[in-house]
Amino acid sequence: MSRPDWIVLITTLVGIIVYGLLKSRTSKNLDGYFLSDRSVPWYIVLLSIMGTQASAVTFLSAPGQAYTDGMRFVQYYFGLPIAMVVLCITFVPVFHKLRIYTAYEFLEKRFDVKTRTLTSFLFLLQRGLSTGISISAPSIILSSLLGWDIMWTNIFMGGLLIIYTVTGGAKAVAYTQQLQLIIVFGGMIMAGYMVVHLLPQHIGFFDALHVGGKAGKLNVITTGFKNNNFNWNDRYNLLSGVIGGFFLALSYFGTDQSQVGRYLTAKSERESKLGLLLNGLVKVPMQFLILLIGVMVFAFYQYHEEPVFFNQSQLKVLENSKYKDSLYALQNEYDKAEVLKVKEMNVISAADKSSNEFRQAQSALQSIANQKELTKKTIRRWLGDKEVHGDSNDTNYIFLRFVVDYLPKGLVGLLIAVIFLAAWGSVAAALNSLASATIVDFHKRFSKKELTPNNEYVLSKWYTFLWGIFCVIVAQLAYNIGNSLIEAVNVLGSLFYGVILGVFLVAFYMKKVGGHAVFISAVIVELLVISIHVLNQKGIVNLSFLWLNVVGATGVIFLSWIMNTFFIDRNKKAGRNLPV
Amino acid sequence: MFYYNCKHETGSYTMNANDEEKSPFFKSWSYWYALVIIFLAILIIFFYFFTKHFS
Repeated sequence: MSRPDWIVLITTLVGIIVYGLLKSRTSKNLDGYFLSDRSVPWYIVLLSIMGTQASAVTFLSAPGQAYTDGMRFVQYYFGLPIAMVVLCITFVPVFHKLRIYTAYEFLEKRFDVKTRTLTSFLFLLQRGLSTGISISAPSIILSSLLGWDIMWTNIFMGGLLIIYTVTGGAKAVAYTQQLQLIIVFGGMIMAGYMVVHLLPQHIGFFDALHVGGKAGKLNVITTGFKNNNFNWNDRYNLLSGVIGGFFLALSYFGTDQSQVGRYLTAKSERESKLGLLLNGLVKVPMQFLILLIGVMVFAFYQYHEEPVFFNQSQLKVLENSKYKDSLYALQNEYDKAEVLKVKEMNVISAADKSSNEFRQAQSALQSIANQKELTKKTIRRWLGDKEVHGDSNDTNYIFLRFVVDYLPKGLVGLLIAVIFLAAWGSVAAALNSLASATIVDFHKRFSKKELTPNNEYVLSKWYTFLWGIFCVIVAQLAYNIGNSLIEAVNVLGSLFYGVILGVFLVAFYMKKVGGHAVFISAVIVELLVISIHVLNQKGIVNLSFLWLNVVGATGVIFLSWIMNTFFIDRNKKAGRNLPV
Repeated sequence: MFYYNCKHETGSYTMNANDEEKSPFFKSWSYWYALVIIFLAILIIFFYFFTKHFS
């Protein structure tokens, strides 16, 4: 990185920390520390929930995903607006009226302490681990691309934000997220403008869209049907996006404390609802535009030489393996083909569509594309070799490789700052929520010692700090996970979210079901969901991870109903008339 | 309309979750909900034609 890049990066990061510290003044009690004295306006709520959901991986992986798999990933968010509506009708009024700190507190009021403890524990487990992965994902990419030390990158990615998160709690988190998101969007808009600007002069935005479209990258809507059969293992299609995405979003925004904690900071129920509904309006178009940048990068590389593998550190791994000589030969052939590709693409752009020249260039490009595909497959196969032990997926590296190689000085620093800020926004909210669940659902709930508001405030700061350290350690341990980390985070969420959502839906809609029935159902269905995931991994079952949310939620609802009927009958026979 | 029961320090009670605060810009929140869903439907239709046009 050049000196201007370092100046932009350091200034932005230091600026955010200082801003976070300036916004740190809150009342020294739980209300002030975790709920910002319930004083936040709707637009901060909106930016805060968006900043919490959009992690660094969102901005790194999404353009890469569009580059390799097309834009169909946007369908994953189709269920989100519907979930926002259900949340505003069901969850938000209840949470506000009960004036709770964590979503799980409601479950004790509705059921019993064990159901609250179980769901809060599942949240801590899932959110603690996934926050660690959220730190390690961008760290691995940056350290690999820029040659930074992974440990220090993890510490900067997950550690610096602890300063203002510990000091200012939810208020500092919300206000820094507002500034972070403005910088993030500014950076992404500039990157989008630059990629179009860097296209050859005769290629405009719509030409680039046609290039992407011809290569199948503008597949925004896919049905998931193949030969009249629905493919349950297809991750992103209209049905899985609307149904699976709805359950995932409802669970994430309604039962994950990292989100619930954001909209509980609102000064009224009205402000919470407005923030959530506007999120429902802007999320899908925002994700569409981020993916569109990936398609523009794809179009850009049709007129420029594309690296044989975007993660160059993995090519170095191959250079030190038995494939060294074969790699040189393959790379040589590939580079020649890339020069030819650029030439033929320019011919196609200039020639008349009905001319022979056009048709010849088209057929030459087809054979180059086939050869390229074969080369890339070979490299992935070599990296997948057990002796090499490489990472054969370079999706997450595509966008940043383009940024580092082609964007002007200063902008590179800004886009690396964007990655840091996006990570900080989601990690800060996660730490705040992990601390709130720990103190409210466990420490305060089970401690026999009476705590003063000041004791609670100091303890909350300590828990935030300790969770920060825990997540950085997890990030360091997750270094070897590899592959597409965005999916690792989503899969991990899907293992728990559905069951937790099921418990909440029973709480809201099945008033006759009591604590024992829902607790036992939740434990059984959680084991079932984990079993299905393991069978899926082994290839025995074919089910995309998004459907695990549906299985978890409907499983708990159905089993609770069965268990309740069974227990009620038993209680009636025993002469008791208690809800279970 | 949905109700839920809660145990509280003051004992069990039933709360009506539809005791809403006034919505901004529209007469009731239902218009907001309709706006979000209709906007999603329009986006999906737009994406469908977008996919068709460029495929």
